[in-house]
Amino acid sequence: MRRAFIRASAALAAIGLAAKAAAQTAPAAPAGKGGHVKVVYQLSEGIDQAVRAMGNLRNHLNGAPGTKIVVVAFGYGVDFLVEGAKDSRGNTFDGPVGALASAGVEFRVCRNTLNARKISESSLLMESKIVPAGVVEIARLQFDEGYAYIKP
Amino acid sequence: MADPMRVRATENGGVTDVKILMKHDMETGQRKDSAGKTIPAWHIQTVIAQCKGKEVFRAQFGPAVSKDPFLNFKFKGGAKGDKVAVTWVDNRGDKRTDEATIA
Repeated sequence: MRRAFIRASAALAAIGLAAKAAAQTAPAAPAGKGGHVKVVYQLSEGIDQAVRAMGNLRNHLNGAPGTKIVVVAFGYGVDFLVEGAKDSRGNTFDGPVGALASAGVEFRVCRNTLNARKISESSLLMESKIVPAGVVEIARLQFDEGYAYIKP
Repeated sequence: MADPMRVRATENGGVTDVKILMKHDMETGQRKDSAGKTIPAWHIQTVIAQCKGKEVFRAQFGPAVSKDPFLNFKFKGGAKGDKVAVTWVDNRGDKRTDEATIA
């Protein structure tokens, strides 16, 4: 009798665990085509790459609204986020960066780069956010948070 | 609680330059959602900046101001190390205050 009770409670506990696991894996799907897609963009090559990336990001959000996009900038990829930075046609980046940021794109900048290249945090565009290390951030987003990786 | 704003203040030759990036949807009340229902207006109405407890800037915002508004103004009298506190209040009564130290 006692053993039967233990077995029954063990079974109940197992059901409880299974239900919890199912609840955790159930995807939260917000509205939009790219609802559950998360993408990290690596920018590390300077202004030309950043110009390409602006186009890619815009097209990405047009094609799949709701995609969670994080841009990780390090190395020469930080240059376009410095206030007053211009592309080869003389256009500044604050417009496109501001528009993308309000569309939900996050811009994360590597602190190691800022230190090594002596760029002050206050000279960056206000949309940017500092992370301790760019490469670590990219690896973490891909492994821990399931981000897809794109390098424009 | 609303998202934090970014505030940056720099002093140069007695003039403090304050840059503020607020995070707010700034719904005008004119837009409709996919079901055709009007999205109610929801926007910042008042922005106040204070330096050492003294008001240095006040603005009234309306539905014509863009989403995630950016604001830049200058005032005299701030010194390096002082704190600038910026507060916004929206038409639902939500408010948010953020601070920056003048550099």
